[in-house]
Amino acid sequence: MIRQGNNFPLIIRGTRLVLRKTALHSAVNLRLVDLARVSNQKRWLEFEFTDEMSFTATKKKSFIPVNRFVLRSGCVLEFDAFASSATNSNVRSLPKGTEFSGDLAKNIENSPDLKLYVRPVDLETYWNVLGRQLEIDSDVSASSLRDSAYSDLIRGTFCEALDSLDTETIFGSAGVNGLRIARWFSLNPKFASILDSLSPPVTWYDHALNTAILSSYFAYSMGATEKVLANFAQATLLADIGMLDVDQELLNSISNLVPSQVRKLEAHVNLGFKRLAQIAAPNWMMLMIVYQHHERPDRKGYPVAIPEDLISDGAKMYAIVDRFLIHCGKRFPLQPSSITEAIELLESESGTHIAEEHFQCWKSIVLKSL
Amino acid sequence: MLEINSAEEFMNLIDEVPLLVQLTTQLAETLENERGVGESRFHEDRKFARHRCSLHGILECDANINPLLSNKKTSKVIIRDLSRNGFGVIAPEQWYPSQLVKLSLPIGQSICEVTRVRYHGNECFEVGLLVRKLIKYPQAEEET
Repeated sequence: MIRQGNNFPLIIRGTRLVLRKTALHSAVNLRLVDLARVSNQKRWLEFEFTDEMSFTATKKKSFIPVNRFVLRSGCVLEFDAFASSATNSNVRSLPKGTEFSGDLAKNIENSPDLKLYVRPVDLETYWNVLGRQLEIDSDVSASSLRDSAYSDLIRGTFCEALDSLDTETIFGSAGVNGLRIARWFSLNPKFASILDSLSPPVTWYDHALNTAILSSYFAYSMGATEKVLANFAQATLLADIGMLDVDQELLNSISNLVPSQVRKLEAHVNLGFKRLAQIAAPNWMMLMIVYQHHERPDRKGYPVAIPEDLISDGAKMYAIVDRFLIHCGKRFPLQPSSITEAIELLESESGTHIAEEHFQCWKSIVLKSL
Repeated sequence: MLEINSAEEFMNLIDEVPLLVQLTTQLAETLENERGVGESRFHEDRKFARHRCSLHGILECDANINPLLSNKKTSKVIIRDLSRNGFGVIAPEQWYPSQLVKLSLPIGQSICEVTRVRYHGNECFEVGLLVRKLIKYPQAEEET
């Protein structure tokens, strides 16, 4: 763990970087938004990380922002960042050089859930570094993660399992698969802007990452082998890749959609399947997760409305985690529920929206981790 | 891959291939009652009107870029409707978007792309096909 003073512990674990600002009794999360395509417009709030992996705090509520991140290995990573507040339900783009002070600092005090997102500018370097597991990663324990603001979802045995499951296992050997995914995304300039525009308060990218992590853990708990797990994680990350081909105005629309618009939105599963089949050589399980993750056991899903026995296990598992995260309020505009409430809501949906048998497995996994 | 050169060859062949589609009662009734120009379904925006027809054809997989999408299925299908650039067929098995298929008809063959699939029942899938290429039989072309 790298520390700057006593008040600003900085934790980097795998792809997640968490900064806790304990002095203000609030947690500010800095999360490496990996995989997201890098924005060329450097309009986000910038932070400085020196070669000792620390940032400079000038006052209690402010610090000098620069966007260079020099690792001990000598690699330089650059980041773009933006701020978002779940309370205010908006995302603010901050001009280059904006100091973390004044109104923003006040907002932090008023919004304990304010999050700052940073994204790597040089994605390839980032992945190469990730492949080496960020030297600073070694002494981060599950307990430190458990204490973080993100811990409402990942704690208990889940954290322990995450500790034993490093990102190499989740995303494939030595980050190679991760790099491949990143390249896929970087081919699609619309991706980052779509993700950004789908805030607040949590971007679709976040949702993809959250779902991928939880789904991977689900698969791990069900005894998936490492190879299957790597494919599964990639597929769950890419499940909504078809959104790239959906009209952006439609995605931004917050009003009630008319049936023809709903149909266009639903087409993302077909488009995602098509895109994945064309740009890569995935296996059948991956294709089915992308294609069937909105199918329902009561045959009211889409795109084919197949019965439960024809839905692949991967798609059923993804669908459960997807809805679980929605109920946990990790997705706009629903109000967040506690994990227990989310499980109760899921229970009422099992057999109709989600597969009952798979849900029972998920329930036991989650309840065991509480 | 079926090599058919005339309508006669097609007619001989279509009689030999069994129809494995298991129509649901509801769909059978709909097919029985449907006539003329079909209405727009699934809230879709259509460019060209869909005309109801009642034909049999043979559907088989064409060359696909992704080997996962290439299968050796060949089946007799019911052609439910057709429009200027597509067909709606009832097939006994599930097909997937972007799969390239060859549809053999009495007047020629058509290379199509699967655009949508809907489940109606066991061994009963409605498949939407977008025409990529039409190849008329030589004899039919001469007559034209």
